[in-house]
Amino acid sequence: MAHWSLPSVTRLRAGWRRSPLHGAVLGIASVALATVAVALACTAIAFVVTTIY
Amino acid sequence: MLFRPDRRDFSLIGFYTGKVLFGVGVAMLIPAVMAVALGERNELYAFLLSAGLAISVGRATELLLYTRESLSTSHGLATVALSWLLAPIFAALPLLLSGHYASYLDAYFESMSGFATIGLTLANDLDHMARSVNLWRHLMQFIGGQGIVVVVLTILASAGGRIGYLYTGEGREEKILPNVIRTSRFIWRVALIYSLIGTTLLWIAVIGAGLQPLTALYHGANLFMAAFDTGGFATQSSSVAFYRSVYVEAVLLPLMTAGAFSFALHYQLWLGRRSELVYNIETRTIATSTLVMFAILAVGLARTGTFTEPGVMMRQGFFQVVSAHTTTGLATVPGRLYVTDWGVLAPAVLVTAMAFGGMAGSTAGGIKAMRIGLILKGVIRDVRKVLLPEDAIVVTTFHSSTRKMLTENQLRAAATVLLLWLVLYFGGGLIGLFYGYELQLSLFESTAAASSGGLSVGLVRPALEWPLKVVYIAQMMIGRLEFIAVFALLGYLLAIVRGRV
Repeated sequence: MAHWSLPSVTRLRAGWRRSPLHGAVLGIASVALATVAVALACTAIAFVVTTIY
Repeated sequence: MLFRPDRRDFSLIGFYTGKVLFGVGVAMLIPAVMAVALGERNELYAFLLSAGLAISVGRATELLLYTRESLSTSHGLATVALSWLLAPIFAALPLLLSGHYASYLDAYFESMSGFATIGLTLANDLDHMARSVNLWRHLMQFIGGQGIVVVVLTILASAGGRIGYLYTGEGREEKILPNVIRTSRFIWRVALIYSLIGTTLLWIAVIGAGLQPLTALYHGANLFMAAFDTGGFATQSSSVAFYRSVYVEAVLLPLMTAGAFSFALHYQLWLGRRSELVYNIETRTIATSTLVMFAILAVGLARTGTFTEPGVMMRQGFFQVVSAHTTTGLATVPGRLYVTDWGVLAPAVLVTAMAFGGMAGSTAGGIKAMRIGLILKGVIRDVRKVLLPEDAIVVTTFHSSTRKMLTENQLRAAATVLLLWLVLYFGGGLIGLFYGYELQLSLFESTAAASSGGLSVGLVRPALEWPLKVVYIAQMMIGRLEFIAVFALLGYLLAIVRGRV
């Protein structure tokens, strides 16, 4: 009789890392992170400029 | 040695161009299906007629000029340029038949603007355009953004490894994976995954802006194609301002950024190499120039008193800078305000941002961050050479996937292309001056057309003089193909004129 058990976290993680979606999520998250970083720096610039003028 | 093309060369170019026309005809069946679904009967007939014509001409050309010979570099380049010249002829037909364009030239302009992902439009009454026609405008951007010839030939899978020459001809310099087929498959994977996620997020944001779910899906899909392919067309005449939604703008910002990232960089990021964001010469150049340009724009806007609240300045100014820098062309303010309310400094920043453009090997246009970065490195190296003792050896490196040494050849190539870009921008600007437009307006519009920036101060309109429309069409095509493919086609045409055939 076949034995069935819940897949372990390690196996799930390994499977996720092998899936093509893993790269996509990493890539998209990196682009979003870069945009947010530049946007935050620009917000600081906007604050400084409006304070001066 | 004289360049003497023979009948076989022209057959080869014609054969592959025929395949591209056939592919463009097949692509027109997508909006035709939408016309059926929405009951837009007149538009359906227009699409079927145009698709039938493109498919027939393409197939007939293929059969007449059938060849089994391989493409060489010059064939590939000339094929790309000829395809980009001929594809809009057929793509313009459904636009003309929609009744939203004053002339065939206007419809051709719109098609070239779509394929070359420019975003300048000559449509009349855009807000009441049939949805299938509007979808076709956006679909042209998607096809053009990925590379019209590569898209068609990879789908038809008929050119095999030989599409390498076509790939380079469309301004894609870098092979990401060992061969072009795998590279174009990766490009497709990136585009499709982004389209799934981007369209979903935009769909939700547009529903939040108050549109019905089905209408929002249509807007979301079109907005995605306009943003990720750095195209800049919009479904409404007021562009992104139509939605009055900070959420829509917030989703569009990373999508435009992703469009301006090279597919080589996407590949590195998809492998989990996030350090590439910090060390890559192009991300560094773009991040620095965005910050500097936003700072100058903020000073310009604050001095004229246009925006005094930091939040408003950030929302309006940052969106416009990113849209210009990524050469997308989506706008949250009417273009005319750039000259009436934004003073002199802020519009000058937008022109500069469009001129700089995105990354090499992305869907964005312009000079490209790689060339700007290399030239700046070259200048710093020369300054160091002057300051250091004469026998000192100065080695300059840059990071792009791996660390590379900066060579004289790379610098010379970057400087030559930079010079060509400047000639293209100022050449169009001078012709605008000839027609009596102010320098600020004519340079803005010329740069928008050549760089694929697509922001407009209102000069591009149906009433624009026809020679200027022709000039802008030429600028769009030359800019998108980055000169060399157009030069190759001119070489073949000159050979015919001089009788060297």
